[in-house]
Amino acid sequence: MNKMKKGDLADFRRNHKSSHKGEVVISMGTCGIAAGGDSIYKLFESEMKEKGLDNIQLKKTGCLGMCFCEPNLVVKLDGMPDILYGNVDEKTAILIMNEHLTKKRIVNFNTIFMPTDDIGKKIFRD
Amino acid sequence: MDNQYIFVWEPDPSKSKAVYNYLVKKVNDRNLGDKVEVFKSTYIGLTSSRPIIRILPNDTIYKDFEQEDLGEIFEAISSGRKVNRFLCEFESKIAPVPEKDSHSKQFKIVLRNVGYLDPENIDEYIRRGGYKAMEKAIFQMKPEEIIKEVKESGLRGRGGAGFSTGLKWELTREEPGEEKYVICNADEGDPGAYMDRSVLEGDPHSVIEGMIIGGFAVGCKEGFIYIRAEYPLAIERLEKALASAREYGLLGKNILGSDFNFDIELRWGAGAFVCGEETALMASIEGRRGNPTPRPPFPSQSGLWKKPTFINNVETWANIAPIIEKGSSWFSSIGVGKSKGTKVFAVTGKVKNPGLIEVPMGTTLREIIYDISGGILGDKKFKAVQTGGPGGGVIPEKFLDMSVDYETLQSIGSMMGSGGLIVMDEDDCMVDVNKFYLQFSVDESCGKCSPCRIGGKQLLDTISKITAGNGDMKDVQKIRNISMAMQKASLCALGQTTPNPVLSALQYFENEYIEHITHKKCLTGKCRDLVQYSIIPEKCIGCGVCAMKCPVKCISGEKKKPHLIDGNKCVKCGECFASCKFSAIKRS
Repeated sequence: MNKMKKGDLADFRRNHKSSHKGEVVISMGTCGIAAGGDSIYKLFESEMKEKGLDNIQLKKTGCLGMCFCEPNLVVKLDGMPDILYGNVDEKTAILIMNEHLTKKRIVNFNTIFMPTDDIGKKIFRD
Repeated sequence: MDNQYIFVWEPDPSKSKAVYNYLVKKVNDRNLGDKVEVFKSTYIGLTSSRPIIRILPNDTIYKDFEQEDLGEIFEAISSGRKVNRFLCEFESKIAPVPEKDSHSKQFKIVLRNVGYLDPENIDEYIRRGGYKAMEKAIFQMKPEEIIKEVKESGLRGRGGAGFSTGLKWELTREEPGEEKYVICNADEGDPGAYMDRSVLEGDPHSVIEGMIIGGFAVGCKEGFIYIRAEYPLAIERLEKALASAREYGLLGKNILGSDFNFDIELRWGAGAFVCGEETALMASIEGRRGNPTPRPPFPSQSGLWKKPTFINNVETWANIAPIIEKGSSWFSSIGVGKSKGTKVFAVTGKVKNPGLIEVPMGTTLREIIYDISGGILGDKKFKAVQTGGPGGGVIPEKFLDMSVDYETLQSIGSMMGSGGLIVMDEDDCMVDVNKFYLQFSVDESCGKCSPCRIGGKQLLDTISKITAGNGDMKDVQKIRNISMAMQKASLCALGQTTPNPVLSALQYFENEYIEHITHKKCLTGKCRDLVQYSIIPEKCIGCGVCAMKCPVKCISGEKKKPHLIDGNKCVKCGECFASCKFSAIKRS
């Protein structure tokens, strides 16, 4: 990667186009990993490949602050509200992939909410 | 109309799902199954003692309704209207800024990216507006202007003491000399606190960006992040973040093509609590033993390698980029009095939803504990909350409605500290809690100055004597005397604040100390030497549950006949007391 110069950052932001139709974001701070977040991540990684869900991006993130329901993850699909699931075990993970990711049906199980809107996005809006 | 998603949260999951069941039935009766969906939610972003409904995609929240109002609410949902009298919107008395989420009492500035982006991917940080503030600072602002913005924003050190950040920068800038240093204090050690770790693990670039801006404003070429080795994941992610920032030309020589050079190095600490104190921290970076030294000279005059140095906490650094981006007046409109902005708290202890939260300064403890963290576990009675870690104090129930800011907390004998909030309920014994914190402070005392080394030990011994049932009323005065000596004469904040929890407990829970001393009783059963467990023969049905639970097998008896506890073998764990369904076990 070439070193960036003045103005390159803005171009970088402008020129980005996501090729994905959604994302699964798994909370993986020390707390999330301790609660089993990394095995859930691996499960999603292998199962999503197998199910051919490659238009959905799988992502790690830091601690959402909801330590009472780790491991937790957010499913963001185009045209649907963002849904956060808490206490995700293997069974729930499979259910999320089969129902939510494949059929766009929210799983009526362990759904929780992000504690606030995405404020960071608003602060740094162009 | 879009599909409607109704999320229902009801306070106690074991009780009937009256609201959920009603709404599901309504949907089925009307055959609206493909338009309206109803879900059970386990946490809805806010908590209450009554059910809450949240409807997406419009994000409407209804609360404080009765069961019979549900019909009206349902009609409104299915026809796209709103029922205004049950709508929940928090008025913006604390943070009247447009970015505020009107559905939440939280406001995330420091944690703005944590949970949204991949911390190991610099591209995502840049796409979310990362390094925009740095670019603005380097190319559009003079160093004096940056310092002025930070000073006027009212940002104060988030590590505990609350010194004005902008002033610290200014003092360092004004010092003569070419060589100056920036330090990020990531040596977080309070029991129950993990704010800094979460920021470093979830959004390392926000700290790096803040430090670059600080380095540019003060005129430094080099910065250090002092982080404890107990945070391996944070170290790993920071290393990755630093490497990718260098690769992109955002760190190192000629940042973004300008003539400003700045680089950051990581230094690992071995996990000594006292190394969070700035002079000890700098000694540790230099490779010396982590002992504090007297101030003055302050680090801004003579810090790292005797050069002017300014040192800020992780959370303070994460606040810098938003201040530069949005301006000082934006930041200072959040908060109350002399405390501006937000504060991250790690809420732990006996609450239903422990976790990491960020609220505007001036939020009350009641809002934090009951509206965000769900209230006390098992609906028990609130007793106290410890703020500020081992150097803070306990806050009793009567102050729950006081606003959380630097001055208010200090006025009631506690302190802001770094942000640990440990909630205690009626089952916690204050004397026992004091003993725990003292043990921690005594272990962590570096031993350099005698008030802290000897005073702490004496305090601990006196309190241990009280919890063992050998206390004397004279001990209370002794505790007060030693405490005063420690506060006045200790070299650094560790020794000066060690007595704080004890003093505040003596102020607000003196009767508990007296109970321990004169009646030799611990009503909560936490001080084991003062507790006896026995079985009331009339109530015991001989089910044997307690005998099964007992870890040392000291309960014996025939089936269906009253059992007996062998007092000599009993370790007073209280398992039998908790497991007996017939209240046949007496604690005295």
